[in-house]
Amino acid sequence: MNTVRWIFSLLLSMALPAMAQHHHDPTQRRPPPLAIGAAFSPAGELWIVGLDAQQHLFVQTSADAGRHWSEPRPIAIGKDKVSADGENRPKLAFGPNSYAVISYTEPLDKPYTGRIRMLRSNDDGRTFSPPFTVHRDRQIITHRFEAIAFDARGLLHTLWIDKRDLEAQLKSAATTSKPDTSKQHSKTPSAYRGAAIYRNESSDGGLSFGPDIKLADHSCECCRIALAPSPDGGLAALWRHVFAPNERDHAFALLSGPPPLEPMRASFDHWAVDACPHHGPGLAPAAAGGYHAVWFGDRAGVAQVRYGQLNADGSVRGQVRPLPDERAEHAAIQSAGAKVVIAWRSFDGQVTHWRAWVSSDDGVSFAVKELGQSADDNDHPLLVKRGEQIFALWRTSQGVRVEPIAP
Amino acid sequence: MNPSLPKRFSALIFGLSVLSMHAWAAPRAVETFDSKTWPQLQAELKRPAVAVFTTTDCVHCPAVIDSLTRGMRQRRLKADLTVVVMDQAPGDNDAALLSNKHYRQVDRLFAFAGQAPALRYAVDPRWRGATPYVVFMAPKTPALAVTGPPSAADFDAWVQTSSGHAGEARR
Repeated sequence: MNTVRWIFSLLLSMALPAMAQHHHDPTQRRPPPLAIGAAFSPAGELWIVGLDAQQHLFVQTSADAGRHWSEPRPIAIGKDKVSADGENRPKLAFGPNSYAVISYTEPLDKPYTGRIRMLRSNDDGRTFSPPFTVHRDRQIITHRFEAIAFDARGLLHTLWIDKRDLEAQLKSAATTSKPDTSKQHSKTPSAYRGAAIYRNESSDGGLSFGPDIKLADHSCECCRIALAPSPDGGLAALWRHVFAPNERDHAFALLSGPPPLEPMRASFDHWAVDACPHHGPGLAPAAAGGYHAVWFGDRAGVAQVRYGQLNADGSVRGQVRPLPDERAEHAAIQSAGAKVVIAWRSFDGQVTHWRAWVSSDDGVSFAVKELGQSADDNDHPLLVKRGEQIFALWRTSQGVRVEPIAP
Repeated sequence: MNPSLPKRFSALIFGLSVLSMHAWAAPRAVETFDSKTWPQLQAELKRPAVAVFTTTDCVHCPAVIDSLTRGMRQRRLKADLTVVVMDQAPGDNDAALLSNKHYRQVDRLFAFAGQAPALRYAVDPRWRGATPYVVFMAPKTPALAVTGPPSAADFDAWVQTSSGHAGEARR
């Protein structure tokens, strides 16, 4: 009889963990991911793309810059999952010839892996193709944190964080050290810092793509990539980089021409840390040439969002200034002529503030503008441009707010 | 009765025992980390503890968890290791978290339930979400927070502080 009791207790002890896994208070569940992408269509409509409460991809449009919205329109993506949290979000972009594209990172089952997916339209977004993978490399590895934009010539650029070089080095190291234990390569230490930035181009709105091109080795692994128009009609990119030995500052490169041997260092916080900041930069063209940049970093123990200007080659120009809010996070930047707008969010212990720093003199001076606040869950602030107009967007669990900032 | 049955039965029991012990050693559930959790963990602190805040895409976090586990074993420190996942809510995909080999070595496994900025603020208003974010704690001692892998000096200082509160082997 004692044996029977003992076995019963044993089986119960094994069953309890499985039972415990399912006991959560549904009211405590996190709301659906709020991260959205936004863009104005050539016709002047504001579009957003995101996930609804059931985590289905949708688009929504507004003909009056956010005062009224259409009903959400579901977008079919089969069984794809969509990363829509923090630095990873669905995005959309409009190009020439009625082209429109939606992109997202699809996380795969293996940790840290993903692929960049896209849907294309050649009827101004009225219909979209089924999703397809953008990159030629099909390994189950990291392809994440994509950025997309059409340049002034109508070329579609897609950039992403890619770990094929790290994986290759790990395999190579494993082969060199232990030729018959190929399965152990993932445990072999590598000297490769971070990940890499890869990109490709499409001249037909996503119908076909050129080869995967490496832009730079040694990017940070978990931060968004910023894109901005360059004076030659192309694009410039800014991303968090891992400078030797482990300084997580920012690097700049133009996308036209051959990849640079080394990207230009665009920030000098000297944040030496083996960590994921989850906090990518922003980039916008300056009226006087060069660029405005905004980024988060830890400089001599002070973690802040900072603003600075870059020359046309991405080198630092002038003084770096912290935003006038020590708790600012996830800042976006946009410019139109001499107008520069930086928008961010800031949690004060009770509510999240939505703020902007606005300049009318190409970044010489700024004034703070309070855009709103929310006690609800909320996304990172966005800035979108229609001609010379700049609008701030902020999605909370109550909906999407839109504020015209400039002119 | 088949004479080999008792042997088989014993082997079965032994196997089940091993499985059971393994199950007990790992977290059995993903606990909810809401606005009350951090103050509660602080208030209930009876022995040294270390909390690692992480995300599912944090590539630097597993090594820190492994290193802390190893260090605590080597120093025979009786302390609690807690992991808090910030980008996945309890109930979203608990099976994946509970089967993660790095998380199976820890004492408690939490996941953020609520607004991440507010939950982060409750831990440290200056922290903007970089991971791993490691908080060393000991009763009646100010906590030490580190972004990224803690240094040997950080770990040693915590062990030193903790020595008055912990004496037995942890596992």
